[in-house]
Parts: sequence; structure tokens; C-alpha cells
Amino acid sequence: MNIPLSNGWNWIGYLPNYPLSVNDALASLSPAGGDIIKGQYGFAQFIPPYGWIGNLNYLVPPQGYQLKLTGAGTLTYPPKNLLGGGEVAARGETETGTAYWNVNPTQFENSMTLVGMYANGEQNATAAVHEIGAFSGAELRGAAKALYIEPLDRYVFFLTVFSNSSGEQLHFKLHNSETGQVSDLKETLFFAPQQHQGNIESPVPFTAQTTGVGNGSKPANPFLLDVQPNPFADATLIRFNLVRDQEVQFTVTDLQGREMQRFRKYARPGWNVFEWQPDLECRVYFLEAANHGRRGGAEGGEGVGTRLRPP
Amino acid sequence: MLSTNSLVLRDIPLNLGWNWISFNLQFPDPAINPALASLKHPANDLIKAQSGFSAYGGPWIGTVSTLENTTMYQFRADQPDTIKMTGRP
Repeated sequence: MNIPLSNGWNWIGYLPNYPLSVNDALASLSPAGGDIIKGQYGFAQFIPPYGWIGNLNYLVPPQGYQLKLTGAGTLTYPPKNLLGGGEVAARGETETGTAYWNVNPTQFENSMTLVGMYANGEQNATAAVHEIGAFSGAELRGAAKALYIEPLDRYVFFLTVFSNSSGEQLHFKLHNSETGQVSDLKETLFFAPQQHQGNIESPVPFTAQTTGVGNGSKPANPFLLDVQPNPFADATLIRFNLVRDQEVQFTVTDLQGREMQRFRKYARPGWNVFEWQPDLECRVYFLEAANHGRRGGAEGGEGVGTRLRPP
Repeated sequence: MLSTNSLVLRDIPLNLGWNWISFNLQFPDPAINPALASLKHPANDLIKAQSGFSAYGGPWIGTVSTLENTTMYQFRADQPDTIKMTGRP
């Protein structure tokens, strides 16, 4: 039986009565780099020339899956007797459960996904002992252990985050199983159903919180700045918070610290959002917002790393 | 799994809360009410397709009126339950 697929998200049934690896199950497709197959407990991304990579390894009946394609296609699952490696052993999905944090996906209607890394500067410092957790307030919303990507010889996180409502602010923690230490990470995101960020070659960076400048005390009203999606191709949404009406200055610099753009926005108290369509080359940039001496993105006054990449 | 007259019986277990499910059999009658008649505790359950959903209110009511095996569904179970489906492979 053929399943016609459109570009964008497709909710697909799994027709075989036997498990298949993601690469076998989707072999009839001609996916593009960045296409995604998502299950309730994990996901994989198509990375040419390696194939489907992620923490969703097998498609299993009677589960359903969501497939995001760049181009339309037709899915035909292979018959059991045509599998190159013979019969695939029956097994459950391997992506459930993590060593330190465990979230119950059945409690949530929506999910978003990202491929991330623990970054030290621009370097991927993710190690086998790392696990990342996503939280809304004190409530766990997703967790992922570091996953080794053999072709690239590096670790990344394939993180699925769950929520029942859009716009929830998420913060992140890192667990080190070797030391037992749990560290707060600097970045925040806003939950958006079905959104995906990052890939194994350009993971979303998460960095350890640093001690603030000055007396090191926490500001009464930290100025938060968020860019989503990030990375992005043509346009992204910039969100920031204010405690009163005022003008905010945004400065874009490249990795060498050269100023590339500067613009101002007059905004109101609370959360503000606007679409940003920069006329810049596809590179990594830093976006910094300043409102009367306060700079956004971190309590210590640091800027926010923003990547601009083609889709 | 039992086979009789080319029809196959399969169980789809439902956890409390949201379940991503699909049906790898073709229902003899794909209408939602006979297809989900085996549920023991359908009260307050909801089934959501990519576009549309139906909720149980005596019969199932909503924009999902038939169940297909080529699509997935998000099924929200108010109690753990099992869909016992009979169909053609």
C-alpha cells in the first residue's frame, strides 16, 4: 500500500506488523537533508550521506509517526522478505528513558524537537557523561542523553520537549553522570509545537551559566532576549521583555566583533516580539539588545549567539 | 493474534493520557463508532487526526468520522484501555 506524502508535516500510520529500522522503513523516500521523522518518544533527522540519525531507531506497530518532508513523495513500506538483513528482531523503541531525568510523554499533547550541544565557546563539549533536561519552571518537560554520532565522531543531544500549551518559557540543565553535578544552562526557549531547531552539523548551543559582572547579584528584572527559530534562513522572531516603555537598541556583530547592523525598536512593558529579516550572509552572528545599560541574553550582560544558516 | 476468514485480531493498548497510534489493519467498517466499539472506558476520550478530532459523548462526535490505516492518530485516554481491532492485513 502506498501512502502519499505532502511537503511539510505528515501524520503517517505504520502498516507492517513487524518492526523496521528507520532507514529500512523509509527507504522508498528521497528525503532532503534536515527532513524529520518523529515518534512519541524520539526523533531522527535525515543527514546525507549518512541516512536517518537520531534517538528514534525503529518504527514499531501499532505506533504512529509524524514525518516532515521538504518535498512531496510516496511511502511504501518494504515487505518482510525483502529486508536485506533478514527479519528484524522485534524490539521496543530504544529512545525511552534516560539515566537521570525521565519525562512521561503521554501527559502532553504537543512536542518540539532540537539537536543541541553543550558548548564551550564555539566548541562542542558534549560528552558521553552528559544529559540535558528541559524545564518549565520546576517541571521536567524533556530529557536526552548525549548521543554519539559515529560519522562525525562527536556527541549531540536529540531532545524532544513536551508541553500542552504554546509559548511556555523553557530553561535547561545539564547533568554529568561522572560527577553527579547538575548545572543550570544559560539559554531559554519558548515552546512552539512541531518546531525543530538544529542538526548534527550545526547543533543548537547550550552554555553554562556564568557569574554576573559587578557585584554578581541577580538583577531584579533580568532582561531576557530570545530568537526563534535559530538557526534560520530568511526570517526569525525576536522576543524580549521590558519593565516599562522604552527604546531598545539591537546590535549585530560577527564572530570577529565587527558591527554588521544596528537598529532600534520602541517597545512596551512585558514581552515584545517582532520579525527580523536581516540582509546578511549565512554565518554565525551575535545579537545584542541594550536598554539603558542593561543588555539582553544573560544576567552577566553578555550577548546572545545567533546563527544564520540556510534551511 | 488470531486468524479467521482472513480477518486478524490485534490489540492496541492505550496508556492514560496521549498515545500516538496507527492501525495496521483495514477495518471492515472504518466508521469511527464501530471501529472503536471495543473500548471499555471511552468516556472523556478524544481522538485527534492531522486535521480534525472527535470526542466520545455517547457516540463519537466530531470531524474524524472514519479511521484510516495510512495515518496516525493521537488518542487521549481518560483511563488505560485497549482497542481490540479486527481487520484485513
